[in-house]
Amino acid sequence: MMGFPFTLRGRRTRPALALALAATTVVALTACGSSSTSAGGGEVQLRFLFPEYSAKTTPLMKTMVDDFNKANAGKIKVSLETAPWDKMHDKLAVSMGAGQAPDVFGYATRWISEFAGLNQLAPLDDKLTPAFTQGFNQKVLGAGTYKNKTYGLPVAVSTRLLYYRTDIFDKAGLSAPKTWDDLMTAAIKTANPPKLYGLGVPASGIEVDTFFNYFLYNNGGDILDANGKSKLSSPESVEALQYLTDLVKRNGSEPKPTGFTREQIIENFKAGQLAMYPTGPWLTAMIKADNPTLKYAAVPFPTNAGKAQQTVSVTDSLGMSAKGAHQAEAWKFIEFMYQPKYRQSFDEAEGMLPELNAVAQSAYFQSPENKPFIDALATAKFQPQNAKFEQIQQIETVAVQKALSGQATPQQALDEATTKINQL
Amino acid sequence: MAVVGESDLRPGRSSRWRPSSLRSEPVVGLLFILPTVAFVVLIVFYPIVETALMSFSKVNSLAQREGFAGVANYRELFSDTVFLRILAQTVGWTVAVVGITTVVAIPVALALNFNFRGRRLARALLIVPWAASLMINAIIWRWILDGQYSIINGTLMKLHLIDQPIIWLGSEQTAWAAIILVGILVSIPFTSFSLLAGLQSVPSELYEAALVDGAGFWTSFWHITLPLIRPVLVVTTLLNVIYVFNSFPIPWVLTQGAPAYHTDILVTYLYKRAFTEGQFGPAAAMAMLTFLLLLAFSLGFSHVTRERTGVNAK
Repeated sequence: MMGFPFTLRGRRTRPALALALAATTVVALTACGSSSTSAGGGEVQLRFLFPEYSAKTTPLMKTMVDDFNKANAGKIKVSLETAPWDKMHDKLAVSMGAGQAPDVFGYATRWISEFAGLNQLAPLDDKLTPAFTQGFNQKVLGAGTYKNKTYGLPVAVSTRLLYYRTDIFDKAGLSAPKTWDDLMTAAIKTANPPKLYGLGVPASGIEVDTFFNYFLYNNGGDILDANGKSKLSSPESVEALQYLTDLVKRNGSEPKPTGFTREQIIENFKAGQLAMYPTGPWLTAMIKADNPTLKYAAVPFPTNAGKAQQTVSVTDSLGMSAKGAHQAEAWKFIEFMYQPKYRQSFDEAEGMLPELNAVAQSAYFQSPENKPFIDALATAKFQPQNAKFEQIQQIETVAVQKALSGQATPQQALDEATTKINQL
Repeated sequence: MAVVGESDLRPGRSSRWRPSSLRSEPVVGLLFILPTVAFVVLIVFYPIVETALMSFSKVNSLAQREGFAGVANYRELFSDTVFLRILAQTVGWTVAVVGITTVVAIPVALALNFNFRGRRLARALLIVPWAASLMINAIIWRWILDGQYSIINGTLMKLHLIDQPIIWLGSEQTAWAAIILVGILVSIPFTSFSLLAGLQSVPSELYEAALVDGAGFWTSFWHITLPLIRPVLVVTTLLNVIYVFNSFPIPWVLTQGAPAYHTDILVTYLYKRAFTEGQFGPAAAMAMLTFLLLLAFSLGFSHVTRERTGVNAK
């Protein structure tokens, strides 16, 4: 069975075999470096990289890409690649660094300043016709602009509301919290440790900074001023962190929140061990799947008496590589993707909010459980565009952890954060 | 392997490229190791060189070098109080995990070397955590230590030893103790199995002779067992120090450094700097320092232990 190279023996054949081995290695190594850009036949090859939001993402995107390829057979061929969300930044950064960025890709809107600053994102303004843009929620569309240019179209829009357990609130004689006083009362009154805690406070892992922003924004505070300098030492910010620290101290949350990640808190809420937790519309889908009998509702996050409502909102974007050789074809693909039928199935399956008005008007999104999230877009506050935002998030996270674990007072922790941010 | 192959190179003979010299043994040998050498250079040496270059460069967030920066990255590192504290934490973590692991693994290996019923089962059970990946071990421990659900808290509460769950990962002291404990537990299988292999190579005649001379258990242990498994102990300590110093999964999965860098070690901090914050320059400088520290330790440790073993042998 095993033929020629394995059966021959003797001195004469060995050098040949060695040479062959060496040659194979060299070929294999050089093959790693090159990549196919266009196969023959005049067909334009496009690469499309999209983050995985859930197990449903890849099949959904594949259906859409297949439809596009069928409609453009012989002219354009899009190949789909998906990657776990956590790996997206690395994957994009590495491919951009190597000059191999995909033609079209999804990414976090907050990365625009970084990628556009490195001339890796194509501005889309000359492609955006009024006929195309009028279908969008204009506020959401605006999230993708940086220095007066549009770099990203919205995908995966979310607003964050306060989920609370209606049955527990009814039993305690409480109504949905509107002010911080309501929130404090509810957090302390509903708690029955260790079976039930008031407000879920995740202070470990990801989004610790986002969690603090619920308080910061609804006290009239902000992370950065117009010049990109820290506003974390301002009285509003310190008051917000002081409030959160007090809430934890008065047993309105699990003790020692630095021992809990967002994932654990979500599990605890689903299991009925938390009375309140602020997060995005995906929690509705999770509850439906894991604990459908749970009684809950979602309301805008309470504000400190008299302060304006600001809803923490996050969008991801869809953009084009500035280095792509086939920008006209890439834009054609993007236009195809923004048909309401594709966006409707994506938004429904992933628990995201519609960026297209047509989708927002659908019966699904006008239902009582989804409408509050769409309405909250009116008070949406998106993440700032700052090339150092990832570092700023890290600094903010550390300040929150220091205050909540008692290593520093809120004032000390935030002053330290301000010093660090202003040194970046 | 590579070094041995290169030392075989005899330029006088191989520089004349004729069929007869192609057939000579050294040349054929070289050609055979060429693929391996190429892969080692590509996979081991190239990243080290790239990291070294990056540590002396200005680097953008796409990890592209943008010109020479002198020692700016290193200077930034040493003015970073967080880095200095984490360096101390890393040394503490390594000493605690490797030290306690070794002390615990010796009696485990001794016990497994006794002939008792169920010894094979005991040996097999000890392998299980080692066979699972470190990441899986860490994730399981994350849930075992969970502040609300965990089996530890549940058991303690059922036994009425505590009336509130303990949030193990919530404060710096308990979280630090927890990651060290998990570090020790996952290091024990490898260490005890290596030591067991060492014990099995000790000739039983030595113990019999010692017994005749009236030596008890402790005397045999100090004067026969320990000196004879010494070479194995040296190797396990060296490998454990390198593995544990660079152990990413345990601290990352359990705490991600929370609260506020108090449970970070160098690799997790390096990962945050590079991949969360996009600061590849200082991160590369940190990687180079880690590399040099471990290299210095390995060389120093081998040197010291080799000398002593030599003295003992005489």
